[in-house]
Amino acid sequence: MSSTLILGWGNPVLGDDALGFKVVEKLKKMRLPEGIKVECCSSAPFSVARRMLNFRRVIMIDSLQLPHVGEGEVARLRLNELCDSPILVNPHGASLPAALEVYRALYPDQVPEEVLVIGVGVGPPSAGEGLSEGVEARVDEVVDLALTEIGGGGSG
Amino acid sequence: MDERRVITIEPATRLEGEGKINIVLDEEGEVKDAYFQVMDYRAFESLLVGRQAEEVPRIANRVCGVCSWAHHMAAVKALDQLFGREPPQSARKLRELSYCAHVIHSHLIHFFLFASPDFFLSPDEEPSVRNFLGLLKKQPDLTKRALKWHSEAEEIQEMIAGKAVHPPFAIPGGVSKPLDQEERQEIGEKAKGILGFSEDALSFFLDGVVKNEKYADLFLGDLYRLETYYMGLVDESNRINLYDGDLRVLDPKGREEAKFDPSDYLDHIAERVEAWTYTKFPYLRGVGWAGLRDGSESGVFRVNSLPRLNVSEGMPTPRAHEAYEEFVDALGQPAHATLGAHWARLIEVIYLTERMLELLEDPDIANEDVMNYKGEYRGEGVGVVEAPRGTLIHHYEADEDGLITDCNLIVPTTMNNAAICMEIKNSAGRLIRAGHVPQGVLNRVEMALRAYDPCLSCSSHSLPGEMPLEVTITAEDGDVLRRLRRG
Repeated sequence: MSSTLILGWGNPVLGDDALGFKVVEKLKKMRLPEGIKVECCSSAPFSVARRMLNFRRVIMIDSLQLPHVGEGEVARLRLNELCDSPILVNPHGASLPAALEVYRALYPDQVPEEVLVIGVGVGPPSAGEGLSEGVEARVDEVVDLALTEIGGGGSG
Repeated sequence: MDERRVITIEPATRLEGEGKINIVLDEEGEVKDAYFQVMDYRAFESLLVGRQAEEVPRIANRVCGVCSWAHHMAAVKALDQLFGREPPQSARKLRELSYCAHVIHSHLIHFFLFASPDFFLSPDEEPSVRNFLGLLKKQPDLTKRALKWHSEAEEIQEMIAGKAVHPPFAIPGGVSKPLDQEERQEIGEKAKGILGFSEDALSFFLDGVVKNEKYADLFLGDLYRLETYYMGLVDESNRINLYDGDLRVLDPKGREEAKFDPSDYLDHIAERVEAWTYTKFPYLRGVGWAGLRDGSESGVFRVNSLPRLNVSEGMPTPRAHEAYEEFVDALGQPAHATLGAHWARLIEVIYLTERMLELLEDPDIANEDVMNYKGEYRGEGVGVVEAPRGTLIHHYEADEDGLITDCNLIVPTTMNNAAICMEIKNSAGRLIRAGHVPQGVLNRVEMALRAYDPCLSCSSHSLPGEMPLEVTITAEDGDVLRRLRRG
């Protein structure tokens, strides 16, 4: 069983929201340490949370829309730092921390011990392919951070 | 300090998919107007123009991370027409089979995660208590089973299509892979499990909510009730079908207003634009736009699970039909009770699992002939399915090189836009009196919204990945009196 999942989350046709896909694309071409699984997805939070089950550690790569992360700024934080409340739901969906909390309540032994998020601050997304110049310029930095986390060294 | 000055509940963070509710009070502090505003404009239609037509089902499904299958199916049905390719029966049935699993997957999570806490925990509880985790403590077995069968439905989609979300499965003229016997058997076992659970879930809802006097007013009272037109897909016997059929429209009295081939949707549906929102207001062309009001003189119509049951004259499968009859006995035909949508969703889950079992017994389902490459190119196509949250229309035109030149997507939340605005005004107007905004008003208004399961822009997953909702209460001169924030 892989011990770490690197998961690029986003939408490949929604501008900077494709960051996770772009980073994963680069990581997949590299020789990574044993036990590392790399994949990307565009699923809703509950499906994403389910993909994380049975991994000891998850490193998510995503675009970030957070008040304390400026556009084009690289950030590394823990998932539970993203929301003030982990159990918020809305009329249509739930946040990823909320979905993980549900799985933790149901299957405490299968939820990752740690979910780390590495991303870049982005502006409001709009349909289209390709990252903005500012975010594109940060892709290698995000790749390096992910490699450092798994002990794979930088891309140099 | 004036207690009616701005009050912000929960920190406002800048997130994607903004949904905003504006409630305007008159001088006496009574609700004068209420608007549901969508603050984002994603322009997916412009992204599709210029693409090769055969790529569209794989790109259009990126419109949404929750209902990607609905966009995938509506797009491919339009492309079948555009390329003039009739899919073989085996492919048509495989599409329907996978689509049933998708709607089950969506309905189960909506009912248990988002709707149930309103009924099985007090609506006046704080969001920190009134949520799925609270329900898990109160009903541990049922909620665990709900999540298990939700996951199993997702696995069925993955088994059929190779991918649970954003599938590369349906292609113009067929599907990309047939179903083997082993998969057929395994899906059958899963479907039987879902059927058993869905019947238990319905009993749970009937016993705990419908037969509970505490909730009778929510279903039968005026707080959540609109007398509108209804629209949905039906088969040749006017029974529900979520994958295919004609669109049937019923008036508020239950009389058939129209029944038409979905390709003729422009003859029946018009759209109105308002300056204060990016979302249009579809209405029935033949009735006309009379503003945000219900009744026979207003062309406002609704789509979703409740309207689907309204436009149907029964369910095509036995257990679902039995449940449908009980629903009609309680809520009438048509049912105007908005919260009846939750009940209708559970009946649909029973229907969909029964339909899956029917399809799995069909010899066509295992036929390996799943593609038809022959057809006369038409350059235009309309595809319609019933998405979990209502009728979804995809319309494409392409040039002689097969490049998309024009497209039009009408999504269910847009179809319900007028009704949602009216619902908010209705519920807020009954709760806010003389300028007094009682505790719990946000949740009470949200309960109306939840019934429609609105989907604003879930195609974006920038973390933290949730749709915030803001309610702003203003005076007629625009002064903000109060702001309530969720998310």
